[in-house]
Amino acid sequence: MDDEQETYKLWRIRKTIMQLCHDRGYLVTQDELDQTLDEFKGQFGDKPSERKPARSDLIVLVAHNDDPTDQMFVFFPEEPKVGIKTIKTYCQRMQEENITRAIIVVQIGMTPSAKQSLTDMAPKYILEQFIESELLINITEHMLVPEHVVLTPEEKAELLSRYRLKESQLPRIQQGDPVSRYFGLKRGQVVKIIRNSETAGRYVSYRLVV
Amino acid sequence: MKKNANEKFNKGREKKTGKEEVNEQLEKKKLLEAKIRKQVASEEKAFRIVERLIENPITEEFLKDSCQFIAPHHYEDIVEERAITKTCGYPVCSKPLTAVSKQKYHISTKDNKVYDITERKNFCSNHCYKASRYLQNQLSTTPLWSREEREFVLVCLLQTVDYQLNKLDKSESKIKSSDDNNKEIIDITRKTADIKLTDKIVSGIDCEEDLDDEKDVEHVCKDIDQTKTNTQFEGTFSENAASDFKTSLAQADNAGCPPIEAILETNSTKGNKHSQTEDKMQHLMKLLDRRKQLLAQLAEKETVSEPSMVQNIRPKSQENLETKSFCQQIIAIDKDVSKHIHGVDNNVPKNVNEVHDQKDTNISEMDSVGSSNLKNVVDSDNSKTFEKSTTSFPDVCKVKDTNPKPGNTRMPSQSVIQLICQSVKTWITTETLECLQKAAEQDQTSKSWSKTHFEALYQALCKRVDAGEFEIEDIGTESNMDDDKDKRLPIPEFERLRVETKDYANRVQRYFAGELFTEPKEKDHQEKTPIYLPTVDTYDQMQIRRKIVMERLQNVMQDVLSPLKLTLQDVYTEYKEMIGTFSLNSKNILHKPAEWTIINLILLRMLSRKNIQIKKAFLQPSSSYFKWLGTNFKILLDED
Repeated sequence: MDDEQETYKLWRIRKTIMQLCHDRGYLVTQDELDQTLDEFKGQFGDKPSERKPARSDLIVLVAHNDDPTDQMFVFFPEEPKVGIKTIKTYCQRMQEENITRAIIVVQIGMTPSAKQSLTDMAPKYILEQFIESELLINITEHMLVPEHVVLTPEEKAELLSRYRLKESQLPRIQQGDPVSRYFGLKRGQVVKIIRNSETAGRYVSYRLVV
Repeated sequence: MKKNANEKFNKGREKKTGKEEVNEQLEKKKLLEAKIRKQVASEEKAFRIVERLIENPITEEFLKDSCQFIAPHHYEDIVEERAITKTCGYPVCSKPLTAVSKQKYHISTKDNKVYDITERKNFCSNHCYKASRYLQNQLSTTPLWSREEREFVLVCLLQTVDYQLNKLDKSESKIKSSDDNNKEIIDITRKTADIKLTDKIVSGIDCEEDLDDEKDVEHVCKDIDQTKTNTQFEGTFSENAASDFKTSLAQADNAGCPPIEAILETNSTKGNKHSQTEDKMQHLMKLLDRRKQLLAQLAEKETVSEPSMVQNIRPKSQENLETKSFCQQIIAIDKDVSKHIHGVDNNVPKNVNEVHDQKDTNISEMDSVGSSNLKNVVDSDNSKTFEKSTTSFPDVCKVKDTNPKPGNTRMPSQSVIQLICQSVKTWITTETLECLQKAAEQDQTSKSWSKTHFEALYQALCKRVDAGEFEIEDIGTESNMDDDKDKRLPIPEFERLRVETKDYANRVQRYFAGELFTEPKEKDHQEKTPIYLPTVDTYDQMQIRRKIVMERLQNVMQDVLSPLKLTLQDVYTEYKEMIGTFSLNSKNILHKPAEWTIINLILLRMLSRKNIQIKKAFLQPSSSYFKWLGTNFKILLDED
């Protein structure tokens, strides 16, 4: 692949990641969100084949809006297929810096055992994996994807009491759903989905993550 | 009142049953939970092992132990993970992976095949790849949680050379211990124990093919010494054990090399190596000495064991085992000293089978290998035991006769042969015939080729060189120019030329004006025909079938070749060539082993048209055992 294409790809991926962080409620500056390709080249270089930028240069560390101690890493491993070793090194780094969340953007995929190691660390360290090709576009901006809003625990409690519902009575959304992966949803959270309707103008529904 | 009481009683009973049900459900739940926990735990353990095996220094013992806790997909994972960290995928090997090629396929020009090398790229060498595949194929596919403790999977690794040497040393010490055993024990029941010991030795020396020659020689010498001491101390029994060592040795020689090439060739190659490394004369003298010793022992044994043969079958069979092993030794030496002739000893395997029936599952291993060795026993002039072998050729034929339909003699077997002939006929294509005929023609002309043809070629070359020189001279001399012109075509008339050029100009104009559309149409036609890429060879049906046929034929090759006094090398390449021309399909390659023997014979007969050596072989007296098939051949060959 030639440098031009590769740089473009990296720029798109990083842009989507920034939007993702923003949508999850992490602090991202407006400059970073609006970064153009030329600015990206200026910041990182335009020769990925000569490790300019290397993928490790792209690492992102963002802090949450409400709680600055809640931080998240975004890793870009160099190797096309990620094994246990790389995961381990990332984990060490997270331990050192006392950060519990991370996203790993892999080029081709992960080995099955690496995936298993992700789930093994699940309760303490939350690691999510995305493939580069998934992040070339931001799916939430697609016209067929309705607006999703994640409810806070208080909002969820209010919803349930207001409509006198049990959790199980809500419609469901899977944890592996592309949108719930985008927002990094956990089991038990509720999303508010707002669609446009010809008759009602706005149609709001709630879904429980399972 | 009574009613009420009854109702109460019933209610009580119902309640009781309800409680029991609840209890049962609870128990079931507990059992289920325990089961699931066990499953999760076993998966967890497998994962830990995978993690551990990725780290580098790994001993073979650890790998072997851990093999029983993982499934093949775990192993694949290990290989992949290791390759990602740039180390060789085979857990025991700790070499780094360097210079991995970017190709996905490898095209071998040697055997005209395309190989998918995506898996091979994970390993540092072919040996590691082979060893890894060998290990992976042994892993059991039963789910991890359903594996019981008892279900111990014995996994063996493909050995490296150093490791073999270590093992050999161990096995030698074992031999010594068993030797001690021999001195204590003079009893039939304990003989089985001996055999067990030797069995262990067999497994110990299993992969000996790459051994250093010197070690091998030492080993052999020790063996011989042992047999000597044994004969001095005790009678036949210890001799038995000693001969068992020898069979084990012979097996070790034989293990690892393809079944047909057999012991003779390995020994001969060893001989060659010796001649390279050591002084030739010394070596030959050694061999001769050994041969003398062995022959002497053989003679002794003959005299000792003949009376016991009358008494019961078992000693006889053992005696045969001994003679067999001795014969093998002699063969090995004979081969080294001079060339000689093959034969088949068919009596011995029968007896071996009898032994096998009596008991001793331990022997079975030895038998299977040993009996294959037996077929290689050589018909040499200087040993008495081969008197038996002379009766053996018809036996082979009889076996073939009776196998398809036991109990009957000529008629049914002939019908089977006809069936075989038919299926072979379906194989044959025009290419096959071309292949055979071309070769035959070449053979006929080959003698004349040798002198006259080359002379003719040489003369033609001389003429051409002369002609070239003449031409150069022609250009040089002007006087010849007129003659040349006369020889060329007459100059075309001016009018005709003008018309042609005008025509051409017109066509060019029309083309640019857009009236002429001939060329694009042709292109369209070409594009319509789809392009088929050739299949990858590993998935090619035809290749697989050829491989199957070749395998089957090789299995029975020795039976047919030895009476004809041919070796595999004589026929192999031509065989392969001929099979390459066959049209094989899924139905016409299904045959029984006995049928394969006959097919083999038919194919050989076909090849005899091409190859003079085979033709000669069929003219030999020993080939007369195949004559009863002759009529059928004639039918087949006529229809060719």
